[in-house]
Amino acid sequence: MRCRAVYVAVKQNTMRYLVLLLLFFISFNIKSQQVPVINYDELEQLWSGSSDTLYVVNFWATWCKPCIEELPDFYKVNDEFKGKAFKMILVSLDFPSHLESRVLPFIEKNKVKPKVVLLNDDDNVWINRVNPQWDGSIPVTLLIKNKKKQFHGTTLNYKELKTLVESKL
Amino acid sequence: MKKNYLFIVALFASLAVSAQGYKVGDEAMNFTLKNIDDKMVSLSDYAIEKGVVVIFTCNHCPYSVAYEDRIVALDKKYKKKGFPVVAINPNDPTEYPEDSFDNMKIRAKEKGFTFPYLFDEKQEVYPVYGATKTPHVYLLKNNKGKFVVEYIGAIDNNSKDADKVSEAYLANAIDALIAGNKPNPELTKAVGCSIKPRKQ
Repeated sequence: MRCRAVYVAVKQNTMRYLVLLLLFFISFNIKSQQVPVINYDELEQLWSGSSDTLYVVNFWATWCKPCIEELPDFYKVNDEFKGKAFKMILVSLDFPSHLESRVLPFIEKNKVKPKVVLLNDDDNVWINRVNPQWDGSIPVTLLIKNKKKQFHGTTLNYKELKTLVESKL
Repeated sequence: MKKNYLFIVALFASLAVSAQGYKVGDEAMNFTLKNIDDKMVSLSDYAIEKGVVVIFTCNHCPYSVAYEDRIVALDKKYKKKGFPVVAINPNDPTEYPEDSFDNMKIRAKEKGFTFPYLFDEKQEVYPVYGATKTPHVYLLKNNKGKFVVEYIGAIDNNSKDADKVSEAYLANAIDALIAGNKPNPELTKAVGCSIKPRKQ
């Protein structure tokens, strides 16, 4: 009898877990892309994969007005160079605690297709690793090919970004 | 010869660009800006203090907001030791309505600011300092009536979480000055919200 009670309890729990798991996966499918929270070493890995790929890496945040203003031009360039040796990475500098409340809703609302990651690391260290001349104000865009970084500390419009990408591809 | 001349002009132009803003060791100019109590505040009003902690900050920026309580705590602690905080909002309210003078008054009241919160309405002060983002700190030491920049950069090394700070850069820098030493580091970096010049 006792054995049976335990069995039932386990079974009920298992069911509960299965339902939760199912809900979890459904929510995954409904949402647009997931955004991993990574450190700078992990970010570097993302652009170290292929030596003949051009990586366009943009540092932005939902609170950064000039960033938000230039992003639609980035989406456009991303669509245009689809299929080329080209990859765009949008690095959000939002607080990790704002991932659910600000970053994911932004991605969903704007149907952001390029890969988005959220960088969480020691500012005083990683900013210098990007560029010792940079003081940490955004937006900033890097064009990286074969681990060589070209730094752009100003906003870029569609034409400027397209020209830059074409010159590097 | 003409080429040389052009080269020299270009050289000076690039020097001018890189020389924008204060570096550690520079003398800070006086400024007079309107405070949230509608009175004017000047840097020279602090001539009796050992120094001044000038912090460019604002209402709209999450990084600034994350630091509000820490700035109040710093002011309370170091005002007594001769290093009061003076906060300056450098933003253009047409770009960021949250940063209007009226909203500055509201925010300062809500958060119980213990320090002046000045409005760089004409955006004339922040470019001289070379502030590019909020928050951006300039720690000044009073050297016989001249204010000299001793530390530039971040408040500490964790904007996201005050409990996880392991390097209190600004507090350490002030402590160093009080002890008669030079701050180390004298320059730190942090992410912040870019200050945007007013559209012409």
